[in-house]
Amino acid sequence: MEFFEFYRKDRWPHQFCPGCGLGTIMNTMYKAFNDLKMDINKTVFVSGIGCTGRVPGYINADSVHTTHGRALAFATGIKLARPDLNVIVISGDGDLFAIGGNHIIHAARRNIDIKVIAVNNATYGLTGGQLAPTTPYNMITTTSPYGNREYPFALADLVAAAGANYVARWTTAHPNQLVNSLKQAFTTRGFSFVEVVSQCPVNFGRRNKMGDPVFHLRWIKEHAIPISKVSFDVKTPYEILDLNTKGIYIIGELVRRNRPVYGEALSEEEEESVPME
Amino acid sequence: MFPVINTDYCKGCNLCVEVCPKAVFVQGKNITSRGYFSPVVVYKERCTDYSLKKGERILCEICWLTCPEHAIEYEVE
Repeated sequence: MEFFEFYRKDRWPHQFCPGCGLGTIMNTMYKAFNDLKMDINKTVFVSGIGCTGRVPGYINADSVHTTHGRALAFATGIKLARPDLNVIVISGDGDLFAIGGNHIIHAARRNIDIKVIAVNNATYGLTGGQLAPTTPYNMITTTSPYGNREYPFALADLVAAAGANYVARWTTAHPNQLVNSLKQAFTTRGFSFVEVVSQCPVNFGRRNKMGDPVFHLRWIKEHAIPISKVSFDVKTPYEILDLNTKGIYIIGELVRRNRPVYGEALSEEEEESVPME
Repeated sequence: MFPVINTDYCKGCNLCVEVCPKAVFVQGKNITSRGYFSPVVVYKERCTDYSLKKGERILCEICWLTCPEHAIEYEVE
């Protein structure tokens, strides 16, 4: 696939802020598509509201820009109506987990064949940097000027507990590992979830002494620990949550399972219920 | 091969200066036509790496992957 067969060159350059991590994620998606030789005409991108919701507008594929938080509901309908299409949901943490938190845990519980890329920039970047459910403890935002007194969600662990088939967490500071993880997610059957910790230097970093995108990328790199280097002494999920409350991201492949997929189980039942002539 | 920065797309975030393992890029001091301080490719002979495999040139592509504006392309010498 050519570079500009994947992108829409007429929309260039895109309107994200200087140093935004979304361009890196688009590049890694292009590389994963190119390595897997996936057909762009058999792929549907679904996105919600937010800066990340603009990403499918720059990709030369059919896309649905849906209402706030309901990207997974639309994606479920598309997948059940047309099981031959690849459905990829790319949306932010505010869309998928703040307003659409109910949809994602139930989509993961049903194990529908959808690939989800959640871009976690730890704030509501589009609307001006308000406090999000993913903001780390003690970080300053526009609505928490004395520091955040809430504890953040562990997104990937939440989806893993809900029952997804493939769950991984990477950052924009690890693009090569992210490409491999996206390839695994696109080839796994069932609900695949990749959380990408991304930088937002303008609306999150600027208020936390990380206004330069380079400083924010360094902060992400320092706060990311590979799962192979974490020693679990007590029970594993609680240790992960304790680290998450300290603002540390555990990166790597968290879960790979082989549970039955929702749409396929449905079609088998329908075949059995057809009376024999 | 060596990287070339397209100043029509570059927004001067300097992430390529940060991620390049061979320090090919240097932070720019001159303003571009779009009003950003775009980095400059100074040490382009460092780019393709001879030390990993002898005789074969390996392109790590980390600057191309990281560049949020897709401004970096590679040119063959």
